[in-house]
Amino acid sequence: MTPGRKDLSELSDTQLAAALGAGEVDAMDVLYQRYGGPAFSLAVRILGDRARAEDVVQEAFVRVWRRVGSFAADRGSLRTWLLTVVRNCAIDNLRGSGREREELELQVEVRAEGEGSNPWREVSRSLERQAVRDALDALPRGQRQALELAYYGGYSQQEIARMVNAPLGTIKGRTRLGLEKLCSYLQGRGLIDGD
Amino acid sequence: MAIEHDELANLVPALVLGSVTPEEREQLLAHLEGCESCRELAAGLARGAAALALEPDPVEPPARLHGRVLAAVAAARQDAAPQQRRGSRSPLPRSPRRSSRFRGMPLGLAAAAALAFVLGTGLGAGVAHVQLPFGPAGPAPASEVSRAPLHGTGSMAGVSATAVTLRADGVTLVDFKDLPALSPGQVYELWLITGSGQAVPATVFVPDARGSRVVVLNQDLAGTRQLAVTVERGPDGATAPSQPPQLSGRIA
Repeated sequence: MTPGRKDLSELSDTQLAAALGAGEVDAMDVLYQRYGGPAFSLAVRILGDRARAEDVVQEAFVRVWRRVGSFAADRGSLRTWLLTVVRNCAIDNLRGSGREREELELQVEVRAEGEGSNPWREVSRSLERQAVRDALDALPRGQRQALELAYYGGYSQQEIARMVNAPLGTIKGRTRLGLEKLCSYLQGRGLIDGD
Repeated sequence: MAIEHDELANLVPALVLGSVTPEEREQLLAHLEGCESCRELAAGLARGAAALALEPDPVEPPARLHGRVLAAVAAARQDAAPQQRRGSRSPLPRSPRRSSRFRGMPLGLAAAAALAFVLGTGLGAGVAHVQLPFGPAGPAPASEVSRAPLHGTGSMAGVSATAVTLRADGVTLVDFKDLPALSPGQVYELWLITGSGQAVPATVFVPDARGSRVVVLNQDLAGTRQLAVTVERGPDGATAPSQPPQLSGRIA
């Protein structure tokens, strides 16, 4: 039996990625319905401009379509990969770098939020968001600042050091400590896997 | 001089956050190839970095973005074949041949297909040779398609714009070219002018660097007498035109 839109919408993310990889254009529609909201929210967070965020989300989904062959489900979730692409597109747009950032091919997994009904998905996303905020709030100010400037601003360690007028070694230390604490906190909350 | 291991390891957190220079990134990726401990460190920290994408407040995307995304993907599919896809066989059967030209396609895909049909061939010309991006469905009868040029005056005198409506599918595209660049904070707003002269806001948009943009509307313009475009304050535009339109066209 040929899967229709309803069938595609019931696929897991891994199956959806396989459908995209097989050239199923309808799967892109399902991907947008599932993650268009978080993608747009992330782009707005980075750019602070809804019109530019729209351009970035459009670009990111096209990039996902073109590069889905490089997505490995055993290395991470489709959602994580899509949001990484959105983040990189947004930073490219923000910084006007003129070059596309490549996504790292690392083992990256944020616990799947579930592919169930929309009400549950919204609750799940809300809990995830609160967990990440709690983790950031628990960090010393300098560590949080280093993480936010790096991830949401796309600044290099040298640029952050200049911006906050601190030695480069201090910034590297804050970044590492902050990220390690963030991971530890989120592991404790069950949002990400440990080793 | 090569950077020592400890120095590279100190940059691994920055790498997973996307906070390194292109040169540092290149060195780090080469280092990770041969350093298991740094690879494990990167894998562990990357999970936390990825979670930062979940922190932003939810912002509802505008409804038009869905169509934009799908139209852009459809256009990308036309432009070039996607990267070589994993595996030699599809795990899912291909979509069935569609019973009508675009029925059942997502709005944006239908719109892109309609655009490929109408703009790629010209109405009534070379219809038998249309290369559709979504399979072997036949061409639409010309009676299902209407086309209306928009004409510019003043600063928009050089703009080229055409509205294409595929009635059977309830989709309209407006293809803009050579739009003047906007000032920061401004957007173009497309208006549907009804028979009674009321201006109904349809959508706002910003052209690309070349002044081009294809706007997709989920309607067939029934009851619309005219299309008009004004420059309004972004990002959401206005509820009523703030100026006389310098670009407009009558709908057949």
